[in-house]
Amino acid sequence: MMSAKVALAGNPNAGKSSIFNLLTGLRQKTANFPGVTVEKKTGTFKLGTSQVQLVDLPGTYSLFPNSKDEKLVCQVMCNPQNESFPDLVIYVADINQLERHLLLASQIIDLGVPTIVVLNMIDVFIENGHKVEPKPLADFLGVPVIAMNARNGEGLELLKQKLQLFLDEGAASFTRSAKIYTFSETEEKAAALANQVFNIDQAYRAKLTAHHYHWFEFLPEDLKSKMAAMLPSSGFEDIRIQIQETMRRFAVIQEVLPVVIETHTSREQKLSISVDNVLTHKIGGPVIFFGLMFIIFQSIFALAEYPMTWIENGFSYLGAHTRSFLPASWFTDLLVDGLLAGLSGVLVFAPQIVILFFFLALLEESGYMSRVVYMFDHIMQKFGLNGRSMVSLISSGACAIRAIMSTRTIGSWKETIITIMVAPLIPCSARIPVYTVLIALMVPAGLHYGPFNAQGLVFMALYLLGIVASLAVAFVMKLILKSDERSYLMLELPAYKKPIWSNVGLEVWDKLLAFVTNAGKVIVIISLGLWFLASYGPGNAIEEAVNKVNETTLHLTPEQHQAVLQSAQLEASYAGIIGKWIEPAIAPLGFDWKIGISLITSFAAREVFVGTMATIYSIGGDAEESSVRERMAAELKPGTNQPMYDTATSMSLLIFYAFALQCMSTLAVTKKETNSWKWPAIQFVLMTGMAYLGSWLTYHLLS
Amino acid sequence: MKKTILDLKVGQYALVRQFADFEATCKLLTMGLLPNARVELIRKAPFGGALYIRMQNHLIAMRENEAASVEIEIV
Repeated sequence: MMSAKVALAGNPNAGKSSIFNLLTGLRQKTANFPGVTVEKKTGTFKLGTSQVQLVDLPGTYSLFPNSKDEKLVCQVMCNPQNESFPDLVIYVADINQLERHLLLASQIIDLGVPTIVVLNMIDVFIENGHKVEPKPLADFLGVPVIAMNARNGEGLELLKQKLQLFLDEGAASFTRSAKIYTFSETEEKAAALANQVFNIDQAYRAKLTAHHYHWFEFLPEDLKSKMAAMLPSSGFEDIRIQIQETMRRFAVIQEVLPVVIETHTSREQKLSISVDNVLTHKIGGPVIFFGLMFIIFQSIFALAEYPMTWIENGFSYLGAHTRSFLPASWFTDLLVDGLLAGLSGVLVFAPQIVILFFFLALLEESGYMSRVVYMFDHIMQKFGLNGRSMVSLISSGACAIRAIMSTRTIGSWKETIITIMVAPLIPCSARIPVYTVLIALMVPAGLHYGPFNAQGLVFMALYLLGIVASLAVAFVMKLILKSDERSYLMLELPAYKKPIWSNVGLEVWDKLLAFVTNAGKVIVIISLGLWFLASYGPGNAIEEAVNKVNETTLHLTPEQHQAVLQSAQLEASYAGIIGKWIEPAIAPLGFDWKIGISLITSFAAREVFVGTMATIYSIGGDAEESSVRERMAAELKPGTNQPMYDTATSMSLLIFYAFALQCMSTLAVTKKETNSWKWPAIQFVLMTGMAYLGSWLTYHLLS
Repeated sequence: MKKTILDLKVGQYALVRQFADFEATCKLLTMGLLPNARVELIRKAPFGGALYIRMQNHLIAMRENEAASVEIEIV
């Protein structure tokens, strides 16, 4: 069986991911490009007897890169040894923006890489009264050009036929014989020099290497110094020649375009401008934005309530039945108290995560997100951030990892660093489980203030706290960090589009899968480990504790006796010993050793809190499988009739989880993105310090 | 004093003539802001600082200092 590597390339907003989804469906996965935190979407599909590997390259305007994303694409396309270097490029262009979108196409074709050009979004084009004529463009570009509408799959068969043709007959009809862009004398010299030093015989690749060799990671350092020594003599001025090339390419494209397609003002664009009269209005714009955010977070609570109850009940039922079917043994305990309790703790939050990611995908797909960037750029600058930081901060509401990865489009070093540092302060989806459980302990379910759900309002307040904290930290960092580098806004505002539901669906599915598998793995492993630590103690410490309870607590009712007994058993276990060990440090915050155990396990990932609580309160569990929430609500302060989780302790714990950086993956991605240990270290110390101080203050003010 | 995009009033059209800033030019060009391109100021951002501009067949946002680097001829 043959296999081929195919890459999707094109400008941002050209509809690449729709075509990616059409070709691969669910056979796709998201990973990172090696060594960088740029998201790499790959997928496979079958074509006849061949297997095609498809890579979705990040959206790029030109091979003269301005951001990390674009640099990555440039390095892939200029290095045939790169593992992502494609056998064939499917170049996706928005036919309504053809002039601009052909710039990168002409560069890729000049690299000699076999290419198919897809003119996407022909539906809008035809609606505007234009005729699609791919042939003249194909004659000019020298590669196949096809028209498509990724929205309904029109043209997909033709694309597959062309791919099949490539597999059967090879690259000849997919490669242009001569370059579109003609070099000047200086450029010829620079390309010849790059060929001489780096041994690159493809002329345009050699020329691009002359521009970019100093940051190309795949070139050896000694050759780079050689190039640096030789290049100035050719009179090659990097920026001036970039500008010259870009302008001359556009001139060539403009010359051929009137024949193919007229430029025009589309109906779609007029509509976008009218919609933006409202959505980016001086007063209305920000009001609508905050209203939207409010609705989104209210609905996370309101809509997720029912499926969450179903999942919780399902697991209780499953646990009780497993226990009744299996003989009482350590294995049954492990299965029910360790594995099922841990799994339930994770899966119960799937509905909230689905809702959150659904709304985020919708904001992104529709084009609204770039309006947010535009509206808030000026305010963000006051805090040392960029308008683009808004995208990161909003996605931080889902996951800081994704947020930190999206900082790569910001461009300026200082704004990027500040965004990375403050993004984890915005409450992410992993805090939802913790907040949900703790808020439920303080605020009764079903309590309403007017039309608003009271739990939802507390939730909202915690989000505001996160936002205020992140802006405050950003402001302080703006004063401390020094940089002379300029920052830019220069942002495309794509026309509003009806979201493509399959794209939204796939995005949500992808994120849910990532949550369940990544968080799931960590939580299950920790739950199992914790079950062991909480069930066994050194020597016969647990037996001794049980005997001691039986001797001293004769005057208690059977229920009270059972509770004291469980507590004593846990206290004597390995987990109890660890919890006791850190208790002195956290007692000023109102926490006991059981919370201490959770804090320790949460340092890997904060959502583990609920699983840990589930495991801790399941150990030596009674016959009835009740939920974590109920068990925690029933917990009493040792030696009193006061609930353990009173307002002071619950609030203090909430504040701790709001600030503390309990997420290994965030630290790892910060390390990768900043390429140093310094920033993740500062981030960790700063946030943990804020958490401790915040909790201490809260506990002392409330108790 | 040469006029720049910053001098445009809302609803006013102009043609791009020159770029005053070398560093910004690369970015402006790849966004399709070419000499002779027709630009129109649609509106200003709610909190100021940024401009909403129509450029032939697409819409872009830019900061005031970026706009100040593009010399124009009002038509």
